[in-house]
Amino acid sequence: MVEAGTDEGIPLASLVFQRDEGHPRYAQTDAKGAFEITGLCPGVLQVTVAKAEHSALHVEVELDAATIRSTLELDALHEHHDARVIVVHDEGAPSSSASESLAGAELARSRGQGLADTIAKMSGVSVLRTGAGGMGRPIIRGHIGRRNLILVDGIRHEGQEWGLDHAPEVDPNAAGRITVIKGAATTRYGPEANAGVVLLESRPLLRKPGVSGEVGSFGQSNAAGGGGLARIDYAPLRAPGLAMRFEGNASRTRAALAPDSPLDNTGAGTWNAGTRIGYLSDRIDVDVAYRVLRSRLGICTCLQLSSVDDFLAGVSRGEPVGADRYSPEFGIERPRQEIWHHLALARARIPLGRVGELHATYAFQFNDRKEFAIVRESVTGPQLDLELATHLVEVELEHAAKRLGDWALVGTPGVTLGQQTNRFDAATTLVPDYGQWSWGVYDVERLVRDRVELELGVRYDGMVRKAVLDERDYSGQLAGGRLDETVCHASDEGGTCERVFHAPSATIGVVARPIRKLPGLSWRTQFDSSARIPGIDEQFMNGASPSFPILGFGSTRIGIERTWGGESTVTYQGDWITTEASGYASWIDNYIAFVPEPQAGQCAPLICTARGPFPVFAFRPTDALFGGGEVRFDLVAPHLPLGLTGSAAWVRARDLSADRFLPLIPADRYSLAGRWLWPDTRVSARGYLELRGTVVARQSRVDRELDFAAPPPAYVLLGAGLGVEFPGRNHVVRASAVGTNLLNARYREYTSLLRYFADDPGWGVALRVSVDFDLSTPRKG
Amino acid sequence: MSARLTASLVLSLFACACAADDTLGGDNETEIISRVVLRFTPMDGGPALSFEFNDPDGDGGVSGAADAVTLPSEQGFALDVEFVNTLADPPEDLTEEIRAEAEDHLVFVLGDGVDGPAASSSTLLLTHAYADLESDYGENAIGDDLPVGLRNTIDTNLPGTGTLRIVLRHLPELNGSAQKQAELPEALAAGETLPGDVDVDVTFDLAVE
Repeated sequence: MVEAGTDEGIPLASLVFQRDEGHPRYAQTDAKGAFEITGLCPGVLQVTVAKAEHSALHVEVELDAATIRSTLELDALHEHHDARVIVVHDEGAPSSSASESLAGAELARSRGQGLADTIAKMSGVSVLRTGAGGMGRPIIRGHIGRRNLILVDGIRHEGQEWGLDHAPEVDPNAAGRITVIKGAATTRYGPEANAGVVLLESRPLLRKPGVSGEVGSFGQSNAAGGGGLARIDYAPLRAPGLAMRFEGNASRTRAALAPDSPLDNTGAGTWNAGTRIGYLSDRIDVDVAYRVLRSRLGICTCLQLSSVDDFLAGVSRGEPVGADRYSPEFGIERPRQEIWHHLALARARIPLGRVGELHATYAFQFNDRKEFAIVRESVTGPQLDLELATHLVEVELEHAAKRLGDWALVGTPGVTLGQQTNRFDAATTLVPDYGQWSWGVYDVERLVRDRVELELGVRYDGMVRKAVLDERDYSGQLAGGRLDETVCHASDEGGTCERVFHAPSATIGVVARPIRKLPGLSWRTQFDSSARIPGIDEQFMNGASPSFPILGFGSTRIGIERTWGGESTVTYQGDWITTEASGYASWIDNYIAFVPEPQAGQCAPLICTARGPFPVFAFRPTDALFGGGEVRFDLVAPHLPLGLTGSAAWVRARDLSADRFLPLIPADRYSLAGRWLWPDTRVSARGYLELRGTVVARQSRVDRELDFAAPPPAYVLLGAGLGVEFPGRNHVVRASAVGTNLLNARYREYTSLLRYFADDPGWGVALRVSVDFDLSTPRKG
Repeated sequence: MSARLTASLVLSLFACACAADDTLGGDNETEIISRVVLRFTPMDGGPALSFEFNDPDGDGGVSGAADAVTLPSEQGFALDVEFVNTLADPPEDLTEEIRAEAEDHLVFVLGDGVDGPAASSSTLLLTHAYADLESDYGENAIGDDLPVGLRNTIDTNLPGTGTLRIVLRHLPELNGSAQKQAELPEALAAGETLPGDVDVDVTFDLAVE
């Protein structure tokens, strides 16, 4: 069994052998991609092959001799490339940083979850729970939101990144593979990628005539609800090269249940739809796509933010006042968020002969976020309305490999241009309207020989951002001394601030297989210097935080944040063990921290508002040090149907200027899972039963001045999973059941915005069933 | 075909973005309270005394400020409380909205030196009592006919200094069950926490002379 194009053996692929009559037989390829099956009768044999990240294959094999040797080719499910470009295949790790991927059956077991929860199983990734519809934001190595970049089919996701309670508006169900790069990847992806990247990649379109797809559904007990999804891929026989996809999914859940009380009003309703049409010929490969996301997310009634006194009273009680009235019903009442997110893209890949190939992309995104607070009945509309429109153009040249003695040089120089307009509509000030242009020039080159690969990346990004402040916003910020008068000017309706940022970054990395006799051992190390341009809130925030009872202020004097980082990862992939250990450290110059700032006036050190005195937090540059590591392993017992996987992650972060710990850093986390792989039967394959324990330590490294409550205690969670596949001639039925928090433990996560008032959800079970089908005509083997 | 489709998709979304721009500066529905006015009308005649808390930039960076409340001793007053959104142009009187939703609102009067339904102070500068009911402002459809606190009576006692705190809570029904209950003022006086949201919580320095 080999991969088409590279002729490399494909290990652990599942094969089903079916005669017209009789029971099917199963086999799996070994580490080199070989398999052997004996005792078959002469005649025509249908062979179906399945392997994650590869297209399914059906062949008919004529058995007309005592022994037949046959080579089967499987198409890898990565984007199509010109043969001249692929010298080193991008299989797995997309950079010299540590990374981890989810695909195939493993990803199918997460269907129906939000993005953050889908990737939270990876070591070094945790969730900042927002309290809105059970959604969360991913935390990668201690960094949240603005320091992590999310790429959907290569397009950087553009939403309102500044809000802690704004879950990313992307649909993980549309992805065929999700990869998390744990570490800086600014030179490749841009200045927002200075701590981590989440890559969501769709399955490639069909490249041969046929029909394939997936239909599935899920149901869960906590939060109770369910949903369904469908995807159809079609490549017509009469129009060679044309392929299209239609997909959609919908889910509806009611409020989640903590062990002692419902998390009132945390119901969610979400639907997504998308289409993609592509055309491939020898001369060009183009595709256009459009997808839309709609979600309505109820925000827990338990979040009491209207006054500091109420907030602190709730914190000291450990539960909100009036919790006896809470219910787990379906209704999504105020407070809630309503979101539309549109993404349209057009992409072309043009082979340029000996030069390489040109990739050009245009994308447009429109993010419409409305937030509804509890208000008097006469008010029917949202209290906060944000509309963000982003155009992005990217052109890159994947140049053909150049031979330099034993080395080959491959690389991708590119340019980007973006334009973004944000419109903010509310009666209060918070963030201003703005328009910005951004541009980037980069080149990532790799020098490759058989066991060593050197990567060198350089990038320059620039941005000009013009913020338009209304009268009250401008005069208030001017009076507070927060506007830099060299870039801000009064106008008839308030004032404008225009500032240019320059953000150069560089990366140097090495990937090596240091021991010739141990090809499974690889070592990757990267050093980077990455610049991040401050967000709109870091410059201009002026109002009440949506997540805490505080007023937050930005500063137009804040400049770029520069990270100096280094990391190293050792990976070993053997026949029965895969293990990986990573360590990293980064010093961040002008780290933009959100810190308390004492105020003068009647309510000093707080500020007087009509809702009582509030603390003030301001964005201030400081120096910070981040460090930590992850370890993970995956053992499969030789000759026994047993497996064991485990992972651990540690993050430490300090504000060096103030000599204190930084807030919202995930606690130490350990996970261990045992798996029994039950034998294949006449109808089922790849069955497993899994038991998983997760231990999360208490976060003891905190500064109480930066928080409203002591960190919650350590906790232990028990989970279980059960899954099986039923392969058919041209379909595979996958079924799984996943149980979470099976001991119904009361616990609170340090990085949850709900933890001041409410426990995290109690036990729950989720059932998923899906059918992957492929109605293509079998090829003759 | 795909090129034509690209063009139409891109054009339609451009149109979407432009439409959004056209509404720039449009007002959003909201109801910020930035000024609280206390109007003390002497029971035995004479001009009313007005004191206010004012936060002209709302939740912006400029701190709000409250007048010092100075009242003559041993006198009875009618106290009217008014709530204004000065961030709207022209300023919007929100007291009318609170009257219209009287069953969802309650004003609490408390502070050092205040005695009344929501306060029990050891030093007694003034005594507060509610002087209105939900039915004064409309039909009483939910539960008992409870006070609202937009109209009150204040009796000052001996001279002294303290504080006067005015709290407006928004107490809409939650999952079909009323949050506004008769015992809430007492519960606040006893130091308990209350349901609902705080719309206003302002404190004035108080001097009875």
